[in-house]
Amino acid sequence: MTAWRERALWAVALGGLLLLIVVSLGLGRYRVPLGDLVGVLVGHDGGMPEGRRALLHSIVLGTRLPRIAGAVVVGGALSVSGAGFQAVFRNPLVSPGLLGVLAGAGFGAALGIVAGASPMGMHLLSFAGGAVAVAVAVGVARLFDAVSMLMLVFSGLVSTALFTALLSLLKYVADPDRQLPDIVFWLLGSLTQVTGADLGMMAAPVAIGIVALTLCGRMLDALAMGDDEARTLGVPVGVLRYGVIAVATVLSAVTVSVAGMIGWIGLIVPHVARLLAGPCNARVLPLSACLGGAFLLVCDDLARCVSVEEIPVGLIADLLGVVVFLGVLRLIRRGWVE
Amino acid sequence: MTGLVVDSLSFARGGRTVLDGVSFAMRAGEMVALLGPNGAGKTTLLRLVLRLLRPRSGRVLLDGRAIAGMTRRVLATHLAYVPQGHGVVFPYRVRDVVALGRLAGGAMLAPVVPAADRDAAEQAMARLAIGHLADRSYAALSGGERQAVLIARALAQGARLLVLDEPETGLDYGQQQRLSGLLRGLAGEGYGILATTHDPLRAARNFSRAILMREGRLVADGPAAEMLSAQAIADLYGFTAVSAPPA
Repeated sequence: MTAWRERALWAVALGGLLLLIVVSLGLGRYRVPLGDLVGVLVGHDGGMPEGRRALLHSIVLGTRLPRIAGAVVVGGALSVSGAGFQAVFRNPLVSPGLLGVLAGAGFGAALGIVAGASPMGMHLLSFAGGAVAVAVAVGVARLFDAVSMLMLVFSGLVSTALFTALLSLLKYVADPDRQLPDIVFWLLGSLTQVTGADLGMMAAPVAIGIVALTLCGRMLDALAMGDDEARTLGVPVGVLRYGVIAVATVLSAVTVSVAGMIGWIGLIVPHVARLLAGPCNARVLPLSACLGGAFLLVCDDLARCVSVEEIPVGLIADLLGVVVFLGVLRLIRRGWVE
Repeated sequence: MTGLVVDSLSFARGGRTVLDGVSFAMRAGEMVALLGPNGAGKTTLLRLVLRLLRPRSGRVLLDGRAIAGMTRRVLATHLAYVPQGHGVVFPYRVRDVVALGRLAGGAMLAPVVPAADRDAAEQAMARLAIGHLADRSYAALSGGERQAVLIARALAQGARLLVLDEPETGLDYGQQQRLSGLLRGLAGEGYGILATTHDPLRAARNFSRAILMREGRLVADGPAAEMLSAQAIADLYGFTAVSAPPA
């Protein structure tokens, strides 16, 4: 890719995301005219009546902004996590859930609901569940065979099965009137509950994770050639693999703990990024963050606006993901489906 | 001493001895062919030299230093590996693949390839006359082209010792001739070349030295043309020497 094409790609991706954020702030049941919206955003709203100003601030900055920022952060983090997992496993079909992080986080959240934990307790339990599930997968793999990637995939299946079973157990014992609906709704994935405090909690780990993975981009490219070749190119393969797994796990566990199960965008978005920017991970990873954020934001806009009754965003992301993935498959079938 | 020293290397897999006390030394500028029937331990020896396996006993020294104590990165600046041309899942361009050779010598954590590394990759591609492939997808290349890319990557790596695993595999006659010429040229510039091969006749013509292995042991080591007589080849591969085709 030539330098100017790359700059153009980034300008379009970042500019598009920014535009999408502004448009999304204007969308919703309460119509905010563009002029007022811009006024509120740039702080140029002195001319409004005090009551209207307070109302607009409450709607745009108090209600919509955290949710929109949440969609961007969650979508971006899940997509980067997926791209990281795909690079580490040299497999374009891998999703962030491969090593059990989603199943574990789901179990943790359900445990929080059944135990009546506070919102912060729910976040922590869910995050811990995801981390423990991946630790179980890695631990099992190392118990049998420290180096085989296939063994890691198998132990990921084991861990996923274990935590899915534990989740079913919790559903079975949950109070069917109060707790079970909460669990089911949480598993559908939603951004309605995202608060400013959640964003504060997510921001640092997500930003650090995205930067860290991007810096490992060229080493991950070497890893695509195979473990042995990467070693002879000077890459410390074991450290890199487990380091990236740890960072990608934190990225997806954090987002799941805040927003529930948000579909398979972690699998799809990196493919779109690769189509646009080529396979080099130093570009795929940050571009996945950008595109994933935009994708989930569009999904959440649809979830908010399509009907009077809000639709769970995870559901929309799944449906829209199917459409996007079909398009991607059509375009890349010459690449790796042969 | 400079160069590569293999000092009584032994390796066992699942209780079976694969390599048994192999020792040899090679200097820069030498072109060493590693021959032997399948299962003789050639590939295992290469993998031990590259530290992709850990020996049961013995050691490998590079310029007098044990490779066991080096970081991957330092090792990669001394020793480059040219594997057999393989498939890669993601459609990397040739330019990207060659630039990976610069990882060890350059900035590992740089998100973009530094300009100096890009230049080094360009030079290596020019050397292999594959500049016209730079923007093609590596995965879409033929076997011969892939191999040229992997050799260019090894040159970009800046290591003075190249380890090649059956470099002739999948090449047609013309490509094999060009490869031989290229390797001889590199040896002339002071690169050390260590390659496994299945073709004793070609090795006798093109390599300066041959190491013959059988059942995990080194059975002969010397100038390629002398070591690879018809009788020696017959003994090594276990058939009766045939001097003329049957009438």
